[in-house]
Amino acid sequence: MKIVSKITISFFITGIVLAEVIVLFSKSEYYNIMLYVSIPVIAGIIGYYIGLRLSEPIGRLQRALSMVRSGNLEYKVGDRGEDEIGEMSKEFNRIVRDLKTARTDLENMDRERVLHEKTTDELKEKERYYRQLFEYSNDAVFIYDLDGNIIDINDKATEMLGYSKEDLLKKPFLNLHIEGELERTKEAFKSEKGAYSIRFESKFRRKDGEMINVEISSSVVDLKNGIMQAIVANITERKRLEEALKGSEERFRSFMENASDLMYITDKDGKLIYANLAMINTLGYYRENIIEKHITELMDEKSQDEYASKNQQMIASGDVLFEPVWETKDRRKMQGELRVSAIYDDDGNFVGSRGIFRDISERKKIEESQRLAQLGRLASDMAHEVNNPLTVISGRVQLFLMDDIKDKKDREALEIIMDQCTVAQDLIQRVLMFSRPGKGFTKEVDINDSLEYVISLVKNQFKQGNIKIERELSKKLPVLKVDEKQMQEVFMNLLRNAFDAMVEGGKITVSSAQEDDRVRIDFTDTGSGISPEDMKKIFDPFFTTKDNGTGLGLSVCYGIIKSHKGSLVYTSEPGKGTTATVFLKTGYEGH
Amino acid sequence: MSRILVVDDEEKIRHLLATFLEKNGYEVIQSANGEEALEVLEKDASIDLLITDNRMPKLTGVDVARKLREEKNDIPIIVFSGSLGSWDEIPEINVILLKPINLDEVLDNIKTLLQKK
Repeated sequence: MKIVSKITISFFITGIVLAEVIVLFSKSEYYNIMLYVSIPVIAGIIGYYIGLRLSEPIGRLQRALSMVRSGNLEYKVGDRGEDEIGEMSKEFNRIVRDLKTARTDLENMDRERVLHEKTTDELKEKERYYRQLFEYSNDAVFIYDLDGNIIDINDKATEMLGYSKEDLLKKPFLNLHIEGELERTKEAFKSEKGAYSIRFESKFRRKDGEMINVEISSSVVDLKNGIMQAIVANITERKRLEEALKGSEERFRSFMENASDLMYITDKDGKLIYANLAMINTLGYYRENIIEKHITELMDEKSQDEYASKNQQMIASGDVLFEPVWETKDRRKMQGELRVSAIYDDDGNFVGSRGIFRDISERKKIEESQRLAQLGRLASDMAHEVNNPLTVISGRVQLFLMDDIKDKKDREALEIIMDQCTVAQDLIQRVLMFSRPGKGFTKEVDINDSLEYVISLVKNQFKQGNIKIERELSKKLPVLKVDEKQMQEVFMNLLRNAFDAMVEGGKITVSSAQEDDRVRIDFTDTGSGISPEDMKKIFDPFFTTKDNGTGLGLSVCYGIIKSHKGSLVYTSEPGKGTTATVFLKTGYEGH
Repeated sequence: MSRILVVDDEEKIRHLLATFLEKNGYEVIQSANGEEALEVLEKDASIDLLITDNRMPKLTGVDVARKLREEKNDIPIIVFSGSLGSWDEIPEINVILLKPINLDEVLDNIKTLLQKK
């Protein structure tokens, strides 16, 4: 029930009570009814009026309350003066204001709380993220303080070192280094003083004692708190491979350096970037002088042209084989077999070439002596076969001639046959001397005496041919055990060849000397020389450049010297002259 | 008249030598190989000189000479050879002649050897 009603009823009841009192005291009937009606009504009206006056601010308060209850804290009750209701309104307004402040605070607090919760989550997420970065790092990560005490490590670190996390956390970081490496590591730190991060290689010892190579990248992550971080990569395998590679390179290098063949590598333009020892020594250069040289600078002119065309072929086909002539630093020429192979990069581009050169002069020499031996066998077989029938022919003719032959012409014919048989027999003798000369009858011979003897035989002939003979004979020659007749035949042949080479006169120098364990005899003429083509065939039986030569002179000499275990060498420069050199071993005792 | 044994597996050479020596007044006995020559020499002690080729099948001239010297037979021996061999190893042979055979050379050597005898 509303206050207005209550007050009105209260006043009305009070009016009735009042009317009763008045009636009781006045005693008038009329008045009685009038009073009974009017006083309660008037009291009721007054009560209603008072009720209204009272309930109006209360209603306002009530409305305000319901506004506040609905959350509107902005609402204010109007100022109603100084009475209780006014006070109440004021009090109400104060309460609402406080409420509003409280609510704002509360809202702020709430907002803060939410914000805080969110931040915490994010932080947690971030930490998890960084923890993962830390844990799942491919390398071991150590966090340690400036004193080297390990504060944190990741699983990789325990895995790498074989220690448990607890063990590691007790160890100073520097103590993980193996002996000796520790000092180096400290040095590394010292030398980089002032730097916040250093990178160096070191060695760690695992719990099981195994040594591992590590690369450490260490940096200060928190200077204020002295926190350091070291990322440690296990490079043992890499080191091993590097060592293996180094070893392998070393092996190949020494293989190439010690090879007797000449080996080189050029860049794509043909400039030398490597030459092995054999190449450097053979061509007579210093290493630093040969590098950067173009490969063709080491060849003679003809080979340079050949190289150009072979080079194209090599780039196209990858490989090429030819026989260039090399020129040494002192302009000596050298022929051999060169194999050049192209080097391509991974994309198949031509980037250079490598060459292997084999000096085949030795092989050529062996081939030559094999060829001569073969020729000798053939010649000697032939000679033996011809010998017997020739002996029979000449013998029979001789028998005829022993008879008294009347016809002069018959006798003459028989004598011609006899004579020609002798020529043939002489040839055969020479062929046999070339192919299978025995040592014959050796005795101790002073080579100088043999030379003088032979010179005395040809002296006049040489004089007539306007050829001067010079002697440079060593007086300290050891005595050699040789077949003197055969030796004289050799010297005679060599002198005769020199004579034939000096059609317009000249000079022959005969010299003898001891060289180590052999005696060297040189016959140097100033004649026409021997062309390179002829030079290949001078020892062949029946090869001759003379109109009436047999082609057996030098082959016989060759055979004789060979049977004395010596050697016969011809060197010649066409147009300038020739030197024939005989080498005889001093210790040779015949065979 | 001196008696000479000529040994050679080459019939034509043997005949040549025989004819030549006979013409020069010697009595010649011929053998075609070393074995036969040794038999002849064993039976006939009156042979004054042996002249043999070296290169023959089975026994060579040097082999024949070696056997004779081993038996202390000091008959003069002339050996023909196609080439100069390894003379150090051979037995005492009086004369070694290089082929081709020079008949005059043969005769000279025979004369010398028989004179010494």
